[in-house]
Amino acid sequence: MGRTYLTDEPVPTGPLLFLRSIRKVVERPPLWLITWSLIALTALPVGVVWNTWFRDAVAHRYQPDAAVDAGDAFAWDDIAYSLTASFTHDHAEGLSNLNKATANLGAVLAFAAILLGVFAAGGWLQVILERTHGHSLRRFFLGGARYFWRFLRLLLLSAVLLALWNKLIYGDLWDKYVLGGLFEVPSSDWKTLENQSSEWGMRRLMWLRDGCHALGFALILAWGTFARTRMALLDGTSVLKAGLLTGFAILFHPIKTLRPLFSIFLVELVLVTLLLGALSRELEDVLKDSPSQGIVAAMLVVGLVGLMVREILRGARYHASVKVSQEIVRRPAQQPDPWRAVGGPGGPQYPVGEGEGEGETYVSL
Amino acid sequence: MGTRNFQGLALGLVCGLGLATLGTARATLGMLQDNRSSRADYQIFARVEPSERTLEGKETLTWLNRSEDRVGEAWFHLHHNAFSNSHSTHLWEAGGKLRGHTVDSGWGWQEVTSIRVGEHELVDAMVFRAPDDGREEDRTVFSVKLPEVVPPGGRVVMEIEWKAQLPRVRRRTGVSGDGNFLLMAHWFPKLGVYEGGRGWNCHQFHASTEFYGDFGSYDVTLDLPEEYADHIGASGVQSGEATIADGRVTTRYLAPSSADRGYRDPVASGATPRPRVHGFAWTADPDNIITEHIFKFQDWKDRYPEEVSRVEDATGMTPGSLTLRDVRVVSLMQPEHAGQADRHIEATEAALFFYGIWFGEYPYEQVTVVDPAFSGKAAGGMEYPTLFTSGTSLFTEAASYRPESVTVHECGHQFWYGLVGNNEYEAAWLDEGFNSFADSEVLVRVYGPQRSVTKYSGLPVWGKRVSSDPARTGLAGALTGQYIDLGKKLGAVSPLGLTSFLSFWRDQPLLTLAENQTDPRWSDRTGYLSAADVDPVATNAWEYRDRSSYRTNSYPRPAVVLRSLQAIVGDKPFLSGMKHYSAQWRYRHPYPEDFYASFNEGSGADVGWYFADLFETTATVDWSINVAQSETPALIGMVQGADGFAMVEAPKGAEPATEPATEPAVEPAPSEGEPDAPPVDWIYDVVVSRKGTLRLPVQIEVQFTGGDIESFEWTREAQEGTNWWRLPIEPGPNKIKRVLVDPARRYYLDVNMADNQWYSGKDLVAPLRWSERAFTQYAHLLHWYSSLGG
Repeated sequence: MGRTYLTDEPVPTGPLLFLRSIRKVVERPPLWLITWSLIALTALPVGVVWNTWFRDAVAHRYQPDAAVDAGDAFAWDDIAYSLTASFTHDHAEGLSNLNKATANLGAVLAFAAILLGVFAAGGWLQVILERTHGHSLRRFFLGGARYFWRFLRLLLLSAVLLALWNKLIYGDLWDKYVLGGLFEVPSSDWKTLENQSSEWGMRRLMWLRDGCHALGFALILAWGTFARTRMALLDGTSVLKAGLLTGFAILFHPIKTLRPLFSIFLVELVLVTLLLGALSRELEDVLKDSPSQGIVAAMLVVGLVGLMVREILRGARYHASVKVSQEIVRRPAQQPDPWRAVGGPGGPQYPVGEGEGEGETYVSL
Repeated sequence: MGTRNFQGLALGLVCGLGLATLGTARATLGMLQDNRSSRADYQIFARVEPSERTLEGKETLTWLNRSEDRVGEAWFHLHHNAFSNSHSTHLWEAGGKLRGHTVDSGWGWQEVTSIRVGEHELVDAMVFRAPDDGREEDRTVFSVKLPEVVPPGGRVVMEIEWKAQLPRVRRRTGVSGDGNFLLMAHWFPKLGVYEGGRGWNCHQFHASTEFYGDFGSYDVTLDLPEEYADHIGASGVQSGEATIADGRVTTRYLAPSSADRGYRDPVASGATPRPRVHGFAWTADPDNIITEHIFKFQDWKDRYPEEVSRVEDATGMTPGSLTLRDVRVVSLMQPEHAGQADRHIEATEAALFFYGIWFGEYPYEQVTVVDPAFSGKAAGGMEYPTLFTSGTSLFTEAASYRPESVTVHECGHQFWYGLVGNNEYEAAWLDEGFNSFADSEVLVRVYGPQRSVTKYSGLPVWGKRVSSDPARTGLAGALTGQYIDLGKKLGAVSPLGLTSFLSFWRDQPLLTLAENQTDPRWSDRTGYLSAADVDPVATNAWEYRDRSSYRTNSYPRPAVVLRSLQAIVGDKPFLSGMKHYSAQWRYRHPYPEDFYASFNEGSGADVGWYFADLFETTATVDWSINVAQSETPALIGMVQGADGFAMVEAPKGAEPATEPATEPAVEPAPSEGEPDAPPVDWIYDVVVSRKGTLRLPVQIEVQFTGGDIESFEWTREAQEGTNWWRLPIEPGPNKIKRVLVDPARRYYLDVNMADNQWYSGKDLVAPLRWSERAFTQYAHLLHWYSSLGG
């Protein structure tokens, strides 16, 4: 158990912290149900637009219910499983307009999702830090509103860092010093890498570049998570200060800070990307031979379950970052909390209960 | 008999003897009706220094004039001069870019240093020609006056020496970026084709043209550094053992091989029965791995017995008599692709089998497939006599058709272009289009539909994303962090610019991608319609409006036209016609009119009108069907009877149902106490319409709910002067369930097939399926965006 700065409670931050964080978040279904449903509702307009377009396009012109017999000549246009070359061509203009509309709508929805994320981060931190026994949803919305502008400023700082990182990896500096300097690729081949004697040689260079970028991207996101946590923990308002100090914190405690987030990432990879992904593929195979509305509905459910799991894990990330931050973040150099002994308004405060004790399951609104 | 009679008899005898001699000579020399199938035999020696990209060569060219003209000059190609500078016709037309690369280095050229005919040195009499565009900087064609005219049936022997700077491989030929891999195509001074009555057919090397040469034989000796020993592949077959001495390896190739020169081609009916070739290419790479396998007809017949039976039946062969010769398939693979050698060989043999039974056997003992090095991949996807280049990558599966598609296609060129040697400058479609037709037929039979993949840093995942990403330009790009333009000084930034690994995380591909499978035959239709009415198919290759038109009209459009031709003439006549053409024009140079005539002759059909419309014009067709049906309305109003007019009221019950409706019409139930209502007839209004000037006979099929089917044919003649037809369908007790134009889906030409069918019901699965995919994709995409926010 690590030393705490802000509470007297022991805070386990060992290798299994991520499991505890996941459990704690699972125990608060109203919160992740809210974030899950908000994301799903945000995506719903896209589904509606596509459904409307396809109903009009299909109308009476394509075989009903895609009941296709083996060897049936009309199988050429069975579009329940795969959009055929003919369909794609014959409706090229309509599909192009549909995709343009989706792209424009998608940009608006993506922006809304980013703001939702900013809000949700505040909500999660408020609930986790307060250790409420009730009114979690209310505290969630309070936290979202309370930290919204600070986290929005942090988002802008994150965007700057991501832009710089992107420029560094995919700009001229990498070409000149890594490709040209380290790997001796002539400048005429920087874009295609055709001086490499094998595809493997080219592929390794591409993976190195892409991998470095992805790693840096993930680190910046992790830094953002801890910076938000620090700001909520200390109720700070300076984004730059929080960002700088968070950077140092990660530098000095890389394992402690990054391990739980990486573990949660692995859980997401296994559960969502691989397991649910495999299930979705199985359902696609069933759809090929027996297209039906039931199978499509099952695929929808699988996708929604995947989204749910991801929302839970997002909350778990904040829980883990709070626990780690409570261990490594130093209180500002100032007088001890004068209210600690006296208590807040209303007289001395006594511990009300064990709060998030081991083995307790507490569900409240 | 008097003296005069004797003289007359003698004259007659002499004339008759002369004619007989001439006929024999023509038969012996193969001087056939086309007046353009001469013969060119080459003996070449070349010394190559890959590290310096230089080549020195000598060739002895023996040309046999099989035309009826007296020929006083010779025209040659120097193809590598296309890569000598940016103002060559080839690079000028390509906008200075080849396969996406701006050509600003790695130049290549060829310089003839000596041309001798007997004791006459002719190099100073060389004249560079630009017969197509007059471009003086283009040095890909030259002519030289011969010291003596070559008469019909005569021969001329030319000794030519040249030196060359080999280009960096940017299109088809040259040395790879790392200097190891060589693919030498059109690498020697090559004679043009003399066409009787037209002169020398020797076009410049354009950006969108390929090659044209006389059939003959090649005896080529290559001198390379020793490291290339046992790593050389070439047209034909290696003759004897390679010689290694003083750090060099010398290898000799014969194309056709010695054995093939004595082989009697069982298919060729219009020219020499002995196999010939019209070009020679070779490759060398010290790293390549060589694998061999023998193609055996019986192995493939066991897999596709019905196909063999179909061909035998169509061409009137005795069942069991169709056979193809064994062929040695040699693959030269890059080490990292060595595991795909079997796939290359399988695809090559698939082409040998199917093309062989459809168009006549591959008559040579060997075919070589080359997997180019990564740094020489611009050499991939090209055909040469008995050798071709494929092209693959790491992490591929057969269902994605890579390298299967390019392998089948390039091997298929051994038949169309290799054996039937059309002029690829003026009628590229005669080989590309025919090959595109056939390779789609092979691919779908052997590999099924093509499955799409989405690649993440080269790693494939089955499926495609359904909907587009959020817009990334302007304000949308800025708000979503994808693309922010900060002006000229700072440029643009992409905080959320994605890389392949991040894209994988964003997409969650296993969860959100949708399977996409494509029948390659329908892909040909899509290709055709990309530029359906820009140029006629029968256009010189360099005279299409642009490269897109060239590709459309040379590849998928002829393929689609041929495929649809089967709907006109039937499967058996089609196969007979194609096989007849292939046999008749083996080792010869056909033009489009030769194909039309030969096909009609072989099929027994007269489809000259079809060829004229589809190959010589830009005519298109777009059928559509519209259906309305309703119950026969009850008779109401004043009806004249025996006693004059009397009012007839509408019967009680539901309004007559009309179509189209989403739900089946509900018949009104008879009232209690009343007798059952009499059955109501449905009346139908089914109209088939045609847009476009192409008139093709087409079937229309109407199916009723009772299961009955009525078929109609809208003939060409009936379409004259009108572009619609109301089907004569009598009222009946059943509703129409579906109406289909071209129910067997034999035509691939219709501009829009979405309105070629009508169903009384509506498909509910497809809209749900695609909206679910779009929704799920966006749900996870938006989760990713929200996690960026917090």
